[in-house]
Amino acid sequence: MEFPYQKEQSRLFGNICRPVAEFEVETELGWTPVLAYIDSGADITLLPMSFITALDIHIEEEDIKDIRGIGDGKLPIIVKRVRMRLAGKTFNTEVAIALIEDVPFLLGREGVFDQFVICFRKNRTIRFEDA
Amino acid sequence: MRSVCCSRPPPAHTSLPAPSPFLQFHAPTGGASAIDARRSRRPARPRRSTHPQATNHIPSQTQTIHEHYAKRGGEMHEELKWFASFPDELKKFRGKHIAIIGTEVVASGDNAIAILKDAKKKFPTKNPVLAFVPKEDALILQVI
Repeated sequence: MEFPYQKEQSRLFGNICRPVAEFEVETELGWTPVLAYIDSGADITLLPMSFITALDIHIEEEDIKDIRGIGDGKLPIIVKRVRMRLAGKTFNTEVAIALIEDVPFLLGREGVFDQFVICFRKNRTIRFEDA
Repeated sequence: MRSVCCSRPPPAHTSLPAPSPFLQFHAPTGGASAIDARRSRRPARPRRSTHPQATNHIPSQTQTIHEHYAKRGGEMHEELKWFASFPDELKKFRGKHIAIIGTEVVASGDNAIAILKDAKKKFPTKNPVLAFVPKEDALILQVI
């Protein structure tokens, strides 16, 4: 299955192309489709805080961990196992759920990139094939 | 013991970041020559056709991704295609979560699941798709 790049005009670099993909997470609302940025530099898939209620998760203080992006900023998250559907494949994988809402959906490597052979054709398409 | 060689640079078309130096394996001395010998016996790969009707055609910069997928039977969802095209309408939702049905934002706000519920309430027979519209230049390394 192939996914596109999102093309946007940037003030700094002209055209910016960001790889995007659609996946679904099984929540209490059923299979919830999400459009996410494919981030091969992210260790784990990232969802916003409201998924905690949608996945009926009860947080214990010891579950909270910090992750870092670029720079020194820390982001508190919890890691949970969810059922995910991507490129016609359904599997269980761990995802990070941020304890803030203001985060983009990111498709990270853990539990995802080992399911597929992924070919990035720069600024054109991203092909996901069964590994 | 079988040796693994990952010393070749990644192909030019990939946008993956350079692998971590901790994850690189190097063939022991002498191992690489055997692998090179095997490679040299492989028949040359046929070049990709640049004809637009060829099955291995990759959409060109002038052909939109929409046209490409329309030709292939539209296997990608309409919402993904529309989001990827980043229409001007999306700019007013920067920093917000949105719920999309077809080519329309049917709900937006700061709470992804709340807007999903809202969209499902408005359109009970549809399956809205969630997305987050990043702030301008929010996802790239900042040039200082």
